[in-house]
Amino acid sequence: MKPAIWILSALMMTAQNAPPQAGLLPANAGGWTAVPPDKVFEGEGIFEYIDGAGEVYRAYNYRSVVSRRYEKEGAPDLIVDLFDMGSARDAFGVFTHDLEGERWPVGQDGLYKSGLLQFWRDRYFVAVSADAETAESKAAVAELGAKIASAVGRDGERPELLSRLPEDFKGGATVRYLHSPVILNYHFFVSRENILRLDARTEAVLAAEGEKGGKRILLLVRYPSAGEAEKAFGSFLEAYMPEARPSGVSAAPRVVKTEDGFWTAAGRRDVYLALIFNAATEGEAGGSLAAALAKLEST
Amino acid sequence: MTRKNLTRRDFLRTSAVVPLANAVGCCCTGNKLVPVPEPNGARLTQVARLSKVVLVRDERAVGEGRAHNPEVIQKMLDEAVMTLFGERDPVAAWKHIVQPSDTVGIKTNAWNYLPTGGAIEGAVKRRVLEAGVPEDRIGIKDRGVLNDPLFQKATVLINARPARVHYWSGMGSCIKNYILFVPKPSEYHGDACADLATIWSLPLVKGKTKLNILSMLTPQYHNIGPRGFNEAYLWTYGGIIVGQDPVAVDATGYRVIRAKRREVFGEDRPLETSAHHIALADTRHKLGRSDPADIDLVKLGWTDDNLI
Repeated sequence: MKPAIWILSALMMTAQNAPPQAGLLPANAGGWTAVPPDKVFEGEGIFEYIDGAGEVYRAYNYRSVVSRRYEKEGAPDLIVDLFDMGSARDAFGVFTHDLEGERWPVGQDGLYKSGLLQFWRDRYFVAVSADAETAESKAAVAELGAKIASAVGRDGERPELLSRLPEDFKGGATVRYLHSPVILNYHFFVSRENILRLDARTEAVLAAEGEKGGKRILLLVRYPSAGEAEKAFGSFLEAYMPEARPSGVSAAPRVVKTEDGFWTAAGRRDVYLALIFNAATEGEAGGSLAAALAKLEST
Repeated sequence: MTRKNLTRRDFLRTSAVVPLANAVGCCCTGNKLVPVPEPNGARLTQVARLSKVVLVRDERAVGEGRAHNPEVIQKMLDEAVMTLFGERDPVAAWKHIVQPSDTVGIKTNAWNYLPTGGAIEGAVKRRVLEAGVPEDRIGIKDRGVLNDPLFQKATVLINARPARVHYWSGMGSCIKNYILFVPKPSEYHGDACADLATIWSLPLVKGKTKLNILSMLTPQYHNIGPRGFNEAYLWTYGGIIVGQDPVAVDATGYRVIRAKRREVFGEDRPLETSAHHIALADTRHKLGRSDPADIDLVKLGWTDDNLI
């Protein structure tokens, strides 16, 4: 195929295949102008664009991503990656995967660091980045973000599971929402195998509170049924707390001291598992778990 | 095939007792013997092999638009391999790596933003051919190696990829380049890919890798955001790191990237994801050597801004 025909064909394919969220992207901002064509990726195609990190978006059930480049003469390029995550809870979840940065009031939550703005609103997760950070590019990134958030037009609901967090894991705690053992292990390695039986149907909240190096961790998991929660509890006990296993898989809380001198506690209520890691004392582990289980019962 | 499950507790259990250096059992040959102190530090009676690594640089290797110069890169690779094996002729050096009876898989990296590139692939293939391996028993591949008939029959693997920061593993390394030899790469993402080195003990690859080539022509030292690539964080280093010990090769490349980050950021800023899979390939998995004290680093060519 001749180059000109190929380019025309590619442009037409891009236009024909552009997912609806492409309409949320502005043509310009702050003197920067969009440079066609947009790039669109779906399914495993994301690995062509993002390499291994594409696994993160797949772990949150992304539907498609539209990438648009903006140029301005003599200034660094800006790139917008607009992800349709299919649901507000997964847009929130993928946002919580990277929580470093300065809070910016864009979308439902926004963070900015070193030329990169990330935010979520409704079912969309958005990354706006500048090839180099300047005062001008930073302002344009902010303007682009504000335009896209406005175009989305409405907020989505945060995952209901967040409301099940006990008080001491709210406020200053780092809170992430996830489904996948790959994501869990990225933030807090539990096991090479999927001993918690996490999958796309399970929801989990990983909360960490305390200072770096001594963070206490709470992992709450909601399963589709009590039976699946019970199986996961048994699987976890067998692999991670075998010394606590002899009393079977009854929902009774278990506490063990781990090899680093900290304490781990585990318990089940109905469709939920609650796990505490890195507690400083046996009492703290048991108390934290009791508070988490009580919260599950009270709501 | 099943593999042993490992939990956080297994790692907590072993981290207190794992020795940090002098791991042995890698495939390094022709390496320098050096005296090492006995545990009480009293005498120098034992000997240990250093892992030999060659860093070769040439300012003409990369041109405008990051174009690779095939002639220069061929010369760089030849010098590196000759130095590695103590030969004066490149084909003689390559005969330490392949024999005419071998089937040779060249595991490359084809990621479109920063691939290994045809210049390095071509330079390797040319010398493998000249060492007597027929063309129909030489394969170059990235995705699909797991089910590729030639790679399944390969008796020798040559591992070539560019160095760059990497989302899951901290650094895209020679060790990491074998992730496509497993059916589910995501199973190795846990704890910043801490156990990537276990892939090297799988039957398809175990003991077959005779040369590791880490391209440092235009490494990527930093990244932010969802995309794994940003032109702004590449720099022209014009180097290639070559060795038989993948851990030593990666550890050397990682030193360069860390040094570049210190230069740019003015501090030893940690990678967003730890590259500890390199050190753990040594201390936990005994695949090779990661401590610079255990690496015989030979530097050739261009010396400006070599960073190490």
